[in-house]
Amino acid sequence: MTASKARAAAGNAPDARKAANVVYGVRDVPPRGITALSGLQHVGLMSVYLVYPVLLAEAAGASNETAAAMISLTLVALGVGTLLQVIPFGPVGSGFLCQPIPTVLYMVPALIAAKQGGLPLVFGMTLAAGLLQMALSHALRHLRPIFPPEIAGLVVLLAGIATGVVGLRAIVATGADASASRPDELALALFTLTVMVALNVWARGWLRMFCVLIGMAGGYCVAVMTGRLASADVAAFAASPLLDLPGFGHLGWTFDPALAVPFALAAVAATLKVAGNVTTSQKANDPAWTRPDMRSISRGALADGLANVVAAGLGSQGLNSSTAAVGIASATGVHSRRVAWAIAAILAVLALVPKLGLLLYAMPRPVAGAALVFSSTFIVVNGLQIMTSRLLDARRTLVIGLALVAGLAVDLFPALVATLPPAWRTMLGTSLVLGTLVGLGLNLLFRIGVRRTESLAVPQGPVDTAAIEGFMTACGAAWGARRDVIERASFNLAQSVETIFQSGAVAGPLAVRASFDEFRIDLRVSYDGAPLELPDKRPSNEEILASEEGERKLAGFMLRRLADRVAVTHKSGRSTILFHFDH
Amino acid sequence: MKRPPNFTYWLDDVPPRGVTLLSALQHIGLVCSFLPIPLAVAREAGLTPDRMVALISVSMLALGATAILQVLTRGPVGSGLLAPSCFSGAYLAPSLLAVKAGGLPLVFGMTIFGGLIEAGLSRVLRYLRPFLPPEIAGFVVVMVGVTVGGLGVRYVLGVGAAAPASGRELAVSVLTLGLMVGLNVWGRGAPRLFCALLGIVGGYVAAAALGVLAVADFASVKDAPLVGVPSVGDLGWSFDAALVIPFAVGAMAACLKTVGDLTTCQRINDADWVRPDMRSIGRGTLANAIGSALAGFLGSTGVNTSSANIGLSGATGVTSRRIAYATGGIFLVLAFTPKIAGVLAVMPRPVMGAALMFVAAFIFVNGLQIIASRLLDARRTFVIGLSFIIAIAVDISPAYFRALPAAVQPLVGSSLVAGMLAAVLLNLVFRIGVRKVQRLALPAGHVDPAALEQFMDACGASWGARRDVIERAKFNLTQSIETLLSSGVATGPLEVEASFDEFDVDVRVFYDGPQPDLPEKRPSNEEIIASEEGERKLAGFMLRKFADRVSVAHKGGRTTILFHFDH
Repeated sequence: MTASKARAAAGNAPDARKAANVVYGVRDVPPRGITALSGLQHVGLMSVYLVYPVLLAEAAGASNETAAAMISLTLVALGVGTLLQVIPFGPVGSGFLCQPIPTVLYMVPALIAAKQGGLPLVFGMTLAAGLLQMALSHALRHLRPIFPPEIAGLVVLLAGIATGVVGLRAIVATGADASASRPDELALALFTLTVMVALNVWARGWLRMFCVLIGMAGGYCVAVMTGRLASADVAAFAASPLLDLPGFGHLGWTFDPALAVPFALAAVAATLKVAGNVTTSQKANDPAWTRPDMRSISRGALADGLANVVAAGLGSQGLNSSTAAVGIASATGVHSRRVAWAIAAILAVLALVPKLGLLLYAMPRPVAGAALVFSSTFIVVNGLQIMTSRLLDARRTLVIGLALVAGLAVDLFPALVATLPPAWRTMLGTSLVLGTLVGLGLNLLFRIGVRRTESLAVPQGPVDTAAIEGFMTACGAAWGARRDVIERASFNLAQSVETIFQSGAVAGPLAVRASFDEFRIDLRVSYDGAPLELPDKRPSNEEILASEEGERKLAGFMLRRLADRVAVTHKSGRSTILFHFDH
Repeated sequence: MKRPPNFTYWLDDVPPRGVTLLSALQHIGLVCSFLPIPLAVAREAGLTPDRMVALISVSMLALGATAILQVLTRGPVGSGLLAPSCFSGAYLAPSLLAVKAGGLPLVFGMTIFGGLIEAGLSRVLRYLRPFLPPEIAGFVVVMVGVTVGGLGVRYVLGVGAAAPASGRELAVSVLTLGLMVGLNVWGRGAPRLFCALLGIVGGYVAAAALGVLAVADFASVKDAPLVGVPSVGDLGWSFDAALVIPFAVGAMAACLKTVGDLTTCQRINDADWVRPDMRSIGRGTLANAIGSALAGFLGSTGVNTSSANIGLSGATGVTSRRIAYATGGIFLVLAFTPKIAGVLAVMPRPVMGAALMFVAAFIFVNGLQIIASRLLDARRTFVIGLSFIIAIAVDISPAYFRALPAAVQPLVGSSLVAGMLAAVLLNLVFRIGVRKVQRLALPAGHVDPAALEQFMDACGASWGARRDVIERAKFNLTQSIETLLSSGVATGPLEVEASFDEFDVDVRVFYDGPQPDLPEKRPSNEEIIASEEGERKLAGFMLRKFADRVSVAHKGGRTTILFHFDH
């Protein structure tokens, strides 16, 4: 089962480069078995979050039947949401496996709503939040300057940490009964995690691709064999019907302006998380990734908003793109969109066959927690790679450093969050949201006073390479430019300054002006003297040997090759050479 | 060693007295931004104000001595570089554990132990490299950032204090942090350089104006004599075997930090720098080890080199050894001036918290960058990611870990220690099955450059090689194979073998055919034009330039070209 075979099947251009760890790219078509098992793997991980609708139904004082219906409808909404997110259609869908899951971001406001106005208020407010997310997705396209790679990486890192923390909490069950530690639960989680990690590191092929599924199944089996499954779960499984259509009796939508702020904040947070997840997926799928592609991020955010509208319309709770799903795709190398169809099909079956749904729902928490911890490691490391993909000066260091301190503070001191007014808990009470907002705010603030154009005067005489490199590095760090482009530019600047001096066409010092926007770095070198000729073709060897003119031409030819584009202008005795680098 | 072009006063230069004095004061200012670390430990121990003064005095004594030890060029101690030490965030977490277990005497005693461990590590640095790869070093730095930042947040918000932070205290913190950040971002020259120190001063002023710092607090300053001999170790020293591992981890982290800093320092001091001079680094880490042990003996917490100071000397181009002696000397004078120590001793909690948060931001990002400087495959991703989650687990659910048996308590008592142990252990386990030599067969005729690049990427990630070296090797491998093919030297299938140890990346290309001529000098233009031989020579000359070292062997019709890259 080779990647090249799959690529050929998908009809991709053979020169389309694939990232090192990708087994099946987004457009590849894996064999049916792999698609189905990958779908099952994803669904297994998604099921961890089915606890949220149950908690919500409890908070609203709904009956058991309503709770069961809510789970079924959530499964349906997840299926629809998965297709919306992964299969691009019109302006909707990022095309990556970052499908929605029931989210903690909407849980906090939804719990308030459930207590105040029952489930109809939850659905109504979630519907409004989904619409807001759709509106925000449009704005994303124009927000590139406030969403540089280091901020995108920050979102990814914090989302990864948050996922890992959810997994940890599932394993060690913090809270009031935290002191009652359960060594058997920890052992179960460690067993599951070890299976997943060992298969991923030392196995090849199928075993590696389905390391998460095998780990979860193994953990589940061990739990069943050691009699760890609660008898209530077994009884519920025996009593539940084989086939059932979910009821819609609990449906209704109301709106309360008093809850608009917490839900709006959750919508902003959800949109940011989509942006982070799509960014990670982009990077995982593109070996030449350089910056977040705001178009696919915006499409992903639109799909996420639409999924919430669908969920609220069906009678389920707020959803949001899953970081863990991105983690599994990165860990296993299966990014194919086909998997989305498998996920949707399995979810539909589960929604109609409550027995199977319950089986999934009864998965021991340590097993599920281990799966979340596993997938979060990839996200954490991806986040820090995205963050450090650019040169960082003191400003950028402070932006992400302080944002991380703020984000971690939330995780480290949960007791503080409990003292906040409920409306603010969504914003200040989750590390992802607080950290990102601090990062975005500081980034905006620190943009004040960053000059997009810097100048340097180079005197005649031997060229001080270190000074030129220092100048370019300082510029690059202030702009947050790509390390490799700045290295190329500084090498080339030093070379061309030398060439220009050697050509003897120059009198007096050179003035260098460097300017930047996200897509280009322009270096303008100007001097008093005649313009250099920059021929497209290398002068012939005879020419070079024959005359001085030929040697100047050779110098000009070399200059042209140093940058992505070179242009010369001459005005009242002063010549300017423009070196353009793509960024 | 070659003098960097823009340096005004290099190592052996003798700057005028005024320059020496001012530069030394600058270094002292930067080092003082880390004083909140021992102050925080003392605060946790509930030290009385007059004892606090003594603690600061002996701290300065230790700092002064370490700065001088570090710059020594003779004997077995000292890197000979201007690299003053500051109080170490790495020792913060173990010290906080020790305060809880046995008060300050235990902190001091264990710090001496930590210094001894550092000294031992400085002798075996070379052999530790496989077990402490850069991504683990970076991870440790990140965890130090978490410890320092976490404590900062605790002080700012007043978590665990008698009462949560009042509005006024929060205002002082915000002002202090705002001043530090503002000066750093928008300031120029000296204000920017001393943003942390100026922020602390501003914090004092704000605290006094808002009544957070009362006049009564200054009583100890008024009572303190202008000149006085610091009382050394009057609290005593004690030892607890249970804390051996936490302090060993702290010592390891401080040692790694010092190695990294001294490497940077060597690089900025030498225009011809290629690779770290491990002898000088070993002597430098020994100097710092003695500094840590001395700090413990005098009654303070452990030290490591300060990257801010190295940055300062690089930015100003002033690295004269004289300045290190002056820095040490001034510190020694300050140690005998209790009035100045008294002012520092009453530093309000919100100011301390803001300073710790500010410092943590830089430590954090520095660590992230060290991790990201290497290519990471799935194994390394797990080493970093899982250790991070384990470390966080210790911080978010301490109650859970407190229920574990007493014997393992010190191991899971701080995120730094737990995370570091997990990382070292996982790294050991995942070394199983990593091949240090990898092969790729290339069919005759057309060579797919993308396949070559992918091969090198995968190799680099599984070795954890440096990103930039692999990029260079990638480019050079594709170029040289193209050259080999186009010059008609190699006609049959090619085989590529890449191997790695921490210092070298070696790429060998095998093929059946004659060995290429690799001239040292570019053939003259006449030669190139005159004959085909000349063109082949040009190709050979280009091949030689692609790597740091190239050699050719020929045996039984089969040629091997070795491209060596320094790592």
